[in-house]
Amino acid sequence: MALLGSGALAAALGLYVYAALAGAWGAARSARKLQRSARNALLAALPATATATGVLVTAFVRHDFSFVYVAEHSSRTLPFAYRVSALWGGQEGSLLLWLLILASVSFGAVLLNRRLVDRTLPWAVPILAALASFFAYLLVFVSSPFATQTAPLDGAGLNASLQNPYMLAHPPLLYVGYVGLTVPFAFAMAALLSRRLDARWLVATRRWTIVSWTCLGLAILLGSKWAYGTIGWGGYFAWDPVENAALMPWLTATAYLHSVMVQEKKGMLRVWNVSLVVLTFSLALLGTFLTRSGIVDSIHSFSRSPIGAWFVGFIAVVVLASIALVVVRLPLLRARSPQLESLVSREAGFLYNNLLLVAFALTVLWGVLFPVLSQTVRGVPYSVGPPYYDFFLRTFGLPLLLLTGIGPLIAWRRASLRSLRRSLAVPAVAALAAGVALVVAGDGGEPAGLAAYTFSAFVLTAIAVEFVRGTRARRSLDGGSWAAAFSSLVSRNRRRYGGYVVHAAVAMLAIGIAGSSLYRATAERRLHRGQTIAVHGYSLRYLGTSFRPGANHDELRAILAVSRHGARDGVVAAGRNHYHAEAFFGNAAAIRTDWLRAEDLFVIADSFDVDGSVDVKVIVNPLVDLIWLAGVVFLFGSFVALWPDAREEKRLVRHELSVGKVVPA
Amino acid sequence: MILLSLLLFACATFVAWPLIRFAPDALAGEPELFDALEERDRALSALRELEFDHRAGKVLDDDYRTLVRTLRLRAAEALRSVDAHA
Repeated sequence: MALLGSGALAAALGLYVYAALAGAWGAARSARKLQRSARNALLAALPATATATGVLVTAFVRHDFSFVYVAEHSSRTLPFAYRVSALWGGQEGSLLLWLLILASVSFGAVLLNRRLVDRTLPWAVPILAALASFFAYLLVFVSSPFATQTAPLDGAGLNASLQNPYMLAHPPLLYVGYVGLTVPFAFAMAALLSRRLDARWLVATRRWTIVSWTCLGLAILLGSKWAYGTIGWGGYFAWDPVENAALMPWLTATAYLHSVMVQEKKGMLRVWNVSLVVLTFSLALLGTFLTRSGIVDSIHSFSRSPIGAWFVGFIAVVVLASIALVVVRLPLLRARSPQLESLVSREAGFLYNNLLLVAFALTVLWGVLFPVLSQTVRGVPYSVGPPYYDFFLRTFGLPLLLLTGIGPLIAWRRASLRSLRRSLAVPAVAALAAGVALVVAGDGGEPAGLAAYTFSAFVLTAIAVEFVRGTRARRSLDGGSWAAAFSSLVSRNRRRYGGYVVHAAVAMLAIGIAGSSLYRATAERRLHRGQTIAVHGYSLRYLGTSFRPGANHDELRAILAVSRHGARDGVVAAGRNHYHAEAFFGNAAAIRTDWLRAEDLFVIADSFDVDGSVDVKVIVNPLVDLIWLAGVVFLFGSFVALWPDAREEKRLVRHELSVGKVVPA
Repeated sequence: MILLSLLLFACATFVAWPLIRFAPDALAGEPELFDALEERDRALSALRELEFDHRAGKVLDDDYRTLVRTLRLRAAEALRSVDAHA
């Protein structure tokens, strides 16, 4: 088994190296046979990598502890689902998962785009292969998952924090997000190398970028949900370096998804878009490095390893080579690039949004890197805490939120102040009304919260106005019923209207974050049986403890009877889990959700004493559930935007065929 | 070992196949014509977008008249460029 796994990995490495070298040679010399052979090598690397992954998963499922990695990350009592997810429970498996995803996206990108970017593809193949070679090399020579030993009776178990349903989905989604960004990067570099800088590479990579961005966004949300329920502090995002590592490429990818529309529509921002692709991919690599190297202190860094130096070198090579290529191609990128016609236009709005997103990403990057640099250069440990990030979240996030509402209301090219006033009137009135209502209700004490709520009201109204006006315009152009006009409106421009749904998700997210972080109520005390704790209309009476033994872990719970405004409202059970194989105690918070108010009652119980007393912390998180609902809306919007629409690709292929002449060899 | 040998053989054959049997065509294109077609499509799309924005009330009548004139000129120029390169 181990031989099959390591042999398949070595074969994958050989295929990647061949694809990189032969592909680059073939592309540089226009040797079509060699190009095709390199492409086949890249495609063949997928089954080889999948075989290696299959071997490791099988070893986990069969409790084959002769694999060192399996013994270190699972045990006989581990439930089946976590035996499979243990694949990414440690470094070697995570790298293997990364390689498998990279092999899969390379396979898909090469096959699906072979007609669209026939002249760019020969360069994309060696770039994808070179990037994959690095990870395959690490897996074969530095950090192999197929090291064997004399099998012990049982394994050490899986990190208890990872034994959570959200951890079944969060890491793979995160990796699809990170790795998927390889496709726009590889095709952008290929476009630069082949000097084909028209819209084809943008169209070829658009869907991959949206998929990666969606997965990254969902991974961040699922990670937050996991942290919310598992870490047990009542929060969901702590600006931890590893959380930030996922946020940064998501922010720059968001900027790219907006600015790429300006290039498609007007041929502008070519240098900026290529630079954003490079920045986003570099941040994705940095994210992997931060997660896997253990260089930063984080609850999410599940291992410390010797691959840090390799990663630093790899990131340096990628960044420097990309910058050099962009600089060399600057004259080509700048050629025939039109200028911005007006500072009040849709494209100018995209530019402002880009500047804010990138500025926010860079301030987060500085917050992540500063402690590392401080430790390295001055030998002084320094940590950058939530106040730093919260400040910049407000500074850049609130204007961004407002722009999310204003942007769609402005016309392309140029908008007069009179038309702008007319477009903004309804959303502005809605925002004002929301602000006044909040102040009257006594919730206007927090300026940032008030701004977030009113801006969100502005955004949601602007989106509704856009749908109504768009449907009306479509109906006046095409005729037919309102339903047909609405359907035509969305299907003609799925990316735009899917994007508006995502904007609605962003507004919901802003309301959820503002509500749960600025208006939360907390109470904490040590309780003996029969005593109560009260907070924000809730009263919890401690009834006693319960203990439930299990094969994988034991559960100790404090049982509390809940009443709300004097009326009984059931019981909650919060406490601790003890994981046997891992010898680890983990929190098990009780979360009671009121979906009508999108509010959570969050209960943590700790420090159980033999006299029956326990420390209880109760948090009332208003509107927090809007954050998770925003995830559902975000996913729906992304689906609308992603829904296949081959018109653009067919148009470009038609152009390609009409200009290309086939010259027999 | 058998599985591994089969995998290696299949991969090697797949990679070597184009070197042995593939008779490639060299593609020669005219990037100028492609760019002209792209510019034409962009100009026509901008006209459609303007018409839609006007109907949706985002562009007022005065602005519409000014912009549509510019965009029509651009579209006509792009069409001439396509004809010149075709």
